[in-house]
Amino acid sequence: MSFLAAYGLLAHALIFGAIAALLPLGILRPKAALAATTLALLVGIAPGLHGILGTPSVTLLQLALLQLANKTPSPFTVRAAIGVLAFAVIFYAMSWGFGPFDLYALGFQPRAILMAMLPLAAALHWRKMHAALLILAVDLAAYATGVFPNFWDVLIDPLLVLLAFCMVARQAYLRFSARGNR
Amino acid sequence: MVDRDIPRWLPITLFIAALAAAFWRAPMPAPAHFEPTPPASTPPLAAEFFSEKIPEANGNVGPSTLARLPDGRLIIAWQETRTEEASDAKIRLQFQDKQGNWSKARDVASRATVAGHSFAYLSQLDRPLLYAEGNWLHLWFVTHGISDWRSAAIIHTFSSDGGQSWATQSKMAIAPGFNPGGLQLAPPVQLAEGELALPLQENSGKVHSWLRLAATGTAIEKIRLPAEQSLMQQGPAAVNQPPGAESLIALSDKNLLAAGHPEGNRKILQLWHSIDGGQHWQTSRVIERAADGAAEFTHPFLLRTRDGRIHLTYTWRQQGIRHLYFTEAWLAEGDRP
Repeated sequence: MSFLAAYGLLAHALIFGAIAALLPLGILRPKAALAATTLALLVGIAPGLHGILGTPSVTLLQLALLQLANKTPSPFTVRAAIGVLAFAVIFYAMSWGFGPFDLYALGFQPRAILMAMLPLAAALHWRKMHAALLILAVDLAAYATGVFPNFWDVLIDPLLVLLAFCMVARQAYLRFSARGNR
Repeated sequence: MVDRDIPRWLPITLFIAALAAAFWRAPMPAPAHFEPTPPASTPPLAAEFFSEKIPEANGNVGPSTLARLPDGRLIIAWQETRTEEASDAKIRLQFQDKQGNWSKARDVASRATVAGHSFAYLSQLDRPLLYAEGNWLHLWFVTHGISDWRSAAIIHTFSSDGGQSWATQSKMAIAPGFNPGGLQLAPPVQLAEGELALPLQENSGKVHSWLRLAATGTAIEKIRLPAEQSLMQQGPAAVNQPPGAESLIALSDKNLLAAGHPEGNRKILQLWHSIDGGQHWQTSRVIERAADGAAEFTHPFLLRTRDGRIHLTYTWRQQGIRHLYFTEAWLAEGDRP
């Protein structure tokens, strides 16, 4: 057993619990989240997600923990989701071989990416988006532990991109419906 | 979480501290330095050819791999399934001592052991690859998450006691999240200071890369190669492989040997030889040829050991594994005797 493997399993269980916490269950919400987290570990949902989607990012784990702790509104806004989606299209296309350059490879020696974090952090600080900046700081600290060989694995993962897609699609649907009702 | 609940100074301070720590942690290895091909330690050997069946590789066997340990023993690993179902696949090992006696076969990895180490579901395991370097014996193999070629990953383990005990089987970071297509590995090339360069074919062979591995097997760099390039001992080189070649080794600087199926015909297993670094290839020896419907000679794996012998393993009619060894003099003699 490696630390990264244990992290991946537990993180997927917590993320599954956080998804259950999104259901409109009123006062039963915390119990449903706890039950879903436990079930994910017991019936093989977490190992299944881990095997298919790989290790979840620390960003997604933090968002899941905030959801489980009922810390709303989430720092993962629709605007942030659009940013993640736009980046993910380029990142995954290039990393999976549909481009001339492998962006994922940069994450093995990530000093250039780390430098690029500075203007992003300055912008978040300037706009008083403290929660988002805190999430970024925890991502960096997680990489500094040496558990993750590639820096991108700390920042982004396919499940986070799926979450971003769902948020953007929901927003688009709501806007479309509102126009139809006018 | 409401942004106004967090003190303004806290996130930026933590960010700067974490950025400094991450910067310190980020590796900055020197450029990769490829070790030259080690010359054979013995004078040129006389023509020699030997063929045998691996005693305990029975039933549904798949790809095999071979390595020579520093004490002279040979180790072979192969994929085997008990039934036609790939889900019960195992990676098995067998040792051959200097007298040529094979040890009892034992399992080194199965779905259960890999799932136990990686805490992740997998549907099967495939394509083992052994590499001995000093006292380290590395084993890589490919796992599939949901179906044959979806969500593939590479698992690495190593032994520092000649294959008696193995370290935790850990998943290697090669792609973000999961690999969308099939994965294939080729034998690694030695770099300076114990590092290795592991050639990869990702996305069902469409993407060619090499992973630079630290001596412990951890990935520290990944470089994508143009499709026509291979990783040779001198570094990435454009090698025009003969069509149907599945395994390629360098015998010396420009002297290359390939094994595979001419025009993809799996009823024939043959060797090709090039003396100009892959510019021109000529058929060297036909190892197997059969016309019956059940004939298939697949998954050839070539290895050149320091004693100058060339070893070849392959799956024989999906029923077993054959191991051959021969010398360069035998290759030069022409057709198989």
